[in-house]
Amino acid sequence: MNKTEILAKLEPIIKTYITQPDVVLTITDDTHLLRDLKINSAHLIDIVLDVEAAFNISITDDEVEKMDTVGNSIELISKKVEAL
Amino acid sequence: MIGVDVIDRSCSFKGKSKHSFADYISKIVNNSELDFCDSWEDLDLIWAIKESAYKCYFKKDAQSFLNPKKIRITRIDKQDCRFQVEIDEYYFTGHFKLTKDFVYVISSDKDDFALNVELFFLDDYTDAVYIQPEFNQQGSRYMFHPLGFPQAIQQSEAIYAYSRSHHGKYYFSAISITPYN
Repeated sequence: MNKTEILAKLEPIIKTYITQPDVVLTITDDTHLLRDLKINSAHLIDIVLDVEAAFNISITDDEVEKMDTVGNSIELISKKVEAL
Repeated sequence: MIGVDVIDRSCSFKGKSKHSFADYISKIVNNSELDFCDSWEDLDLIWAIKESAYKCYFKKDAQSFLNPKKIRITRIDKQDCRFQVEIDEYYFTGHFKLTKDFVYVISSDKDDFALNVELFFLDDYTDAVYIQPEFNQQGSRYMFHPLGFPQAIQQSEAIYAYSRSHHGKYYFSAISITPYN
C-alpha cells in the first residue's frame, strides 16, 4: 500500500473529527492534528482506533505519540501494513 | 503550574457508540489504573485527570506527547475528590468535581495556594451563564470575560497561574488569586 492509498483512507477518518469551523481543510504531511486541525485530544484516541480498524493493524501505546502529524501517521501506518 | 480540564458528559466517550468501553480502556487506562475505572463515568474522570495533568506537565517540560498511558494516576479518592498523578517522575495533585452533567479537574504541582475557579454553561459561543464560583478561598471575584483573561490579570505584571478548558457546553477556568512562583 503506497502513501497515496494510505492517505486516501486516512484523510476521511481525520476529517470526521474536525469540528472547528475555522480550520483549513487542506491536509499535507506537515499538518499537525492538534495544532493545525484543532482536533480535540480525546478524538485522537478515536482516530487511532479507527485507523486500527481501517488498516487492520495494531498501534502500540508508544506508537500513539508518533501520530502527531499526517506525514508521521502515514509513515507509521505504512510500516505496520508492510509488516502484515 | 496549574492545568484544568472540563468534560461535557453529554458528548463524552459514552456518547460515541462507534467504539466500545474496552476499546477506550485499552488506549487510555494503564493496568495499574483499572481499579479506578469501572464505568463510563470513571473513564470521563480519568480522561479529565490525565488532560489536566498533561497541561501541567506541558508547562513544566516543553516536550509534547500524546500518549495518555504515560500519565499514571496513582491515587483517586472519590470521597475527598482528590487524586495524584505521575508523569516522568513529576508529581501532580489536584481535585475534581464529577456530576451527571460535567466533570472538571484541577491539577497543580503544589498545594499551598488559593485559586479562583469558575464554571460557565455556554448557551452558544457568545452567551455564557455563570454556574458557580468555587474554591474562592478569599471571597473575592475577578471580572472574567467568559472566553478570555480576567481584567485584573491583564493589568498586572505579576505572574499568575492560569488554565482554562472548553468542551461542549462548558467553559472552565482557574487562576491563582496571588502571584504563583
